[in-house]
Amino acid sequence: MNRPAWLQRIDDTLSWLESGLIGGLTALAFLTGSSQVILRYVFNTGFAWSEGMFVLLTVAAMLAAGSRAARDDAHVRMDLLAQHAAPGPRKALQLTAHLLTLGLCVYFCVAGYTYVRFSFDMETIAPETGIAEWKTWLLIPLSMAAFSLRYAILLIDVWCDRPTAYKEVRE
Amino acid sequence: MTTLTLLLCFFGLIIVGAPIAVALGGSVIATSMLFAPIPIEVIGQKLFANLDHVTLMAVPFFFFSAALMETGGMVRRLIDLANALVGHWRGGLGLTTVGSCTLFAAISGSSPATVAAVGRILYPSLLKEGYTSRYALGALVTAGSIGILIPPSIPLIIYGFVTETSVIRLFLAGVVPGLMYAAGLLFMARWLAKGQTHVTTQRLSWQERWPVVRNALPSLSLPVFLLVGIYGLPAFDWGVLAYEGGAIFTPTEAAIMGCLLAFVVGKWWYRELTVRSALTAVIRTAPSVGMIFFITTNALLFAFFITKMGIPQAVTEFLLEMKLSKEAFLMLINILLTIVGFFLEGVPTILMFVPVLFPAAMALGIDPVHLGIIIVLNIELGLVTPPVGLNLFVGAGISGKPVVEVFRAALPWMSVTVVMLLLVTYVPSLSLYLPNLLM
Repeated sequence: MNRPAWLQRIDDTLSWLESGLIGGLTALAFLTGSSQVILRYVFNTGFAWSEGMFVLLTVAAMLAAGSRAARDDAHVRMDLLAQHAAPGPRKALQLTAHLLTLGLCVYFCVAGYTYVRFSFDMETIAPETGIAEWKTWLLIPLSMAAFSLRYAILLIDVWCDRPTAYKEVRE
Repeated sequence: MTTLTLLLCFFGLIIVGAPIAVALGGSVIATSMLFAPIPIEVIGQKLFANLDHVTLMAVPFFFFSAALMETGGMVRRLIDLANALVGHWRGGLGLTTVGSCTLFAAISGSSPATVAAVGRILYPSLLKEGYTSRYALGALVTAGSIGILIPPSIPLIIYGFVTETSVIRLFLAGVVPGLMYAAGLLFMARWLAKGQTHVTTQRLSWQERWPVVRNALPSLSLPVFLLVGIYGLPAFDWGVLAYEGGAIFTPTEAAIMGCLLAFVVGKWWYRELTVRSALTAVIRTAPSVGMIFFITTNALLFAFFITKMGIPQAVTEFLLEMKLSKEAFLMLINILLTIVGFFLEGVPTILMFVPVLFPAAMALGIDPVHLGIIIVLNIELGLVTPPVGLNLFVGAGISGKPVVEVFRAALPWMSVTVVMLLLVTYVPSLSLYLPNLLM
């Protein structure tokens, strides 16, 4: 059974975004990091913001990569029970696992957003990069929203007995 | 009651098959909601703050440098080199396998990446030259596990990050056990090759070897560059140029420069890498790191919560009351981690168990660097034990054989791992000699 067009479109858009963010942000982080090393050790100079920016770009890229891992259902788990269960209970276990994961990701998204609001109200600025901190902290609600979407799609796929990467690997 | 609820939630989530990261984070959220509320803003803040450390950024860039090496043809040159040097001996290609894994380990920092990169090239060659698939798989999956002991090592970076132990000291501590482990596997490769009807490569003269060595030199420059960068050179003063000695790069900077060098060599020296193929390799590799980052942030949330509840302190007090000797405690850790290794991968093992066990180990006077190497050797064992042994999965993927068969193939080779584990556990100087000498 194929996915409905709207669901496939969400999946494709997310995949496109993830690939762009992983590739683009990693390349930027790599350029920032390598220029920082060269400037520091060859020219004995550097920018105060480069290390903070390097970490920020890398974390952002890896959170996008975490969302991609959620698409492939590649987040490491101990699924011995599901592997040895009959098809019915296995489906129930998978649905429960995805539902709980979705719940946690939504909670993290809300928690991240709450901290962004707090940081916005406090008007704090990161000393290294000079960026308003709430902009940096936005990474968490945004990435957790992507994770949530990914697990919602997985949940729908398992519910409708559509193959997921997880199923393909295990079976 | 809080601890019991935490454990029940954690194991409940594990049993239903939720990701490890979710079991760690979810159990904390559920327990804190019931018994010890943590303000939601603090959780939101911790999720990012747990990752906002420059040391942790070494992990993705070591992964990427390994991916770029594989895509850029550097791995193939290292294999050719090892084959030219030892291929003519009995079990030559088996020795080549161990040698290539050791060389690649000095760059990649990841065990499954080592098995995948070397195995894809060497497994078909081993079969073609008449080695049994059992021999070939055993050599690959076990030798691949050296990847996390010989520096740079991803689990050692994570351990250093969690325990605030010097990553450079940890890397140095892995050198002697790593080389001894490689020597043990080389011996095993030669010994198990007895009675195998394989083709022996003709011994090459040094004149014939030279082009292979020359071709591999840029690939070899990468581990040399990383090692010199991380550990530094002896101090010198030549008047115009002076150097105080000590490390040149931090591990994270070394990882970035490793990527740069792998890209430069692959693109402009071997001409096998393009910007597009490099980006594709990065996008393909990144989800494995994304998974590690998600586990890390949840595991640190878990560590924060159990510390707040006083669980590590309670475990420490309990162990001290038992009046365990250092040796007995380390044996206990070995037994625990061997059992855990059946079910769990390396990074989650460190992130879950180290926050609980580390304070007790410190209270007993165990060196944190020594403990780190013991834990990594246990992880190596876990990588080749079913049902959850990543190297077994990679080996099964390469060969198309069932995981159980790959495990059987690895069994004789695992004796070297067990001997190394016991040696490292009870002879601390094996891991501590080099860091104490150089730092």
